[in-house]
Amino acid sequence: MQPDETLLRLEAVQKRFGGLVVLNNVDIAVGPNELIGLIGPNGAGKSTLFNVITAIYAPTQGRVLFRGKDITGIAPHRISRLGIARTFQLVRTFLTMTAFENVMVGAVYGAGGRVKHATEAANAALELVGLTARRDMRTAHMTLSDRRMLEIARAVASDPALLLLDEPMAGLNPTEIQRMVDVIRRVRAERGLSMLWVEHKVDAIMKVCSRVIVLDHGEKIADGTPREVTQNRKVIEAYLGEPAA
Amino acid sequence: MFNLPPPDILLQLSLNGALGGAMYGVAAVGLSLIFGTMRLIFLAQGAMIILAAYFVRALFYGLGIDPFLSLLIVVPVGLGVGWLMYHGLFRKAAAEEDRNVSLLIAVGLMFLVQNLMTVVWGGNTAGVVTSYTATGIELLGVRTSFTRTMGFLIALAGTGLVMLFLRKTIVGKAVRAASEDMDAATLMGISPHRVNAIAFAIGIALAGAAGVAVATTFPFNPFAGFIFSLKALVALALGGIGNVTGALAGGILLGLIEAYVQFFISGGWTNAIAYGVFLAVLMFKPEGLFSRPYKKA
Ligand SMILES: Nc1ncnc2c1ncn2[C@@H]1O[C@H](COP(=O)(O)OP(=O)(O)OP(=O)(O)O)[C@@H](O)[C@H]1O
Ligand SMILES: [Mg+2]
Repeated sequence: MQPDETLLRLEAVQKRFGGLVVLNNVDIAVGPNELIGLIGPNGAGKSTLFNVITAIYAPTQGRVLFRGKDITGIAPHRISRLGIARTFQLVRTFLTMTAFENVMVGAVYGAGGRVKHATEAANAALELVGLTARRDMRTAHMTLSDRRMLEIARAVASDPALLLLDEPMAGLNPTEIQRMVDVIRRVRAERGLSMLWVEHKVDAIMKVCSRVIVLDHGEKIADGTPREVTQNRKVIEAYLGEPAA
Repeated sequence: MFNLPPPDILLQLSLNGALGGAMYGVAAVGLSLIFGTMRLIFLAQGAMIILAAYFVRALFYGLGIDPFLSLLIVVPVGLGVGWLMYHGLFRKAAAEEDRNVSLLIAVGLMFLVQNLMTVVWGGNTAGVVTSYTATGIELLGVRTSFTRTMGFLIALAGTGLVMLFLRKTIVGKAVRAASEDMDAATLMGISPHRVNAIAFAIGIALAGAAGVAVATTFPFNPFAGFIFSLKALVALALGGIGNVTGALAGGILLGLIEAYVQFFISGGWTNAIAYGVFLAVLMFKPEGLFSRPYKKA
């Protein structure tokens, strides 16, 4: 991978809340069209890492670079225009709106205020995650699984180059999990974007991702192929005592 | 318990209550919008309504512009004032997690506006008397005041336009998205300052419209606004915070409650009972009387 090809680069990122160091000296580089699994025990700092990347939190030290440009500390509403979109661990679709309206917000504002072709982009995103039939359903009436799909559609509608998924499988049953795996693969194949995917279902990550990063107590303890990571002693220790997810 | 009065009196009471209550309603719609995006109870809303009423009065006596016609001036001016007010006064405080500073700015603004009005127009009761002020019209077989009916129509039209804006336009959808979840909306590219400013612009424009209704219906003084803010707050609680049609309905309901209390109990009890209802709703049905609960994620 050429250095100028790197999409996202975290340089020695540290995040403290008061005395609590939640992320420490984290370096991560994400290349084009990579699908990277990000795993780690509860409280490892995975969601915080997403909040730092999306500028919800400014890192206490270190830099975030996107397409070679320093984006540390920019206004969060500019993040999605630059090409970074995300989903949330606790689903945050707009409940009073229909599926289509949710995705339209992404297609218009997320893409930097476009009006032309926004409807097409929204419909295509719904199609991609298989929600076309629920287009005009109010989100409040949708199942958790559909809302998780909708969050992905809303993010995809903003035409991101990098998609951050925060536990998209949490609370889903095995059938829904399989559907989610299919959607993640399809999004990557059809949109050519890169993904950072946080998940507790480690087996799914190991099957789908060619690269896995492990966080523990705010430190990156492993970064490699699934095989490398599962044989890493630090990773085995970090997960010891954790229930097999 | 009560000796029910004849139906035509009941109808008269209800009509007057509903017509008057719509004014609380339109004030509450403004509060609801501003609360929606900014999570701020904009206590100066009533003072802005009275300021608009004085403005309408000045346009009438100074330039001979009909109060209802002055809507065409007051509403656009309100949009501009609201926009400037957000960027000038609230923008910096809005960036803080804590809303107390914003709330204090709103309170400070209220006192400033009240006292400026006193300096400019004096503290006495003022009003707008036109050729049609005393005119009555027949409505549902009951005689009622023309200006009150107009006030009601203004409230209805204002709320309707806001609803259309929120439902049908993409900017309106952004305001709704931000009201529901500002962080998620921000990460979808929506600028918090932009939607806050829009909420303020529309909120103050509605205060302008309410000012027309007040000026033509009631005598007013610089300090009448605070009660208006409180009544709007009651209407907001009745209708469900963050629910625009509910805010109007809450205002109308409050008007009805006041009219009935005044008739069946006594005028002295009106406010006590209105605020009692306010507390009761907040305690037992904080989502408002008209909202359907929906499951949260
Ligand atoms: N705003 C905050 N203020 C203080 N502490 C915080 C804040 N946000 C997160 N933390 C702490 O940072 C640590 C990491 O939290 P984070 O949510 O990033 O973990 P996670 O890896 O996503 O865990 P999980 O798998 O349970 O979602 C936790 O100890 C959490 O309590
Ligand atoms: Mg998390």
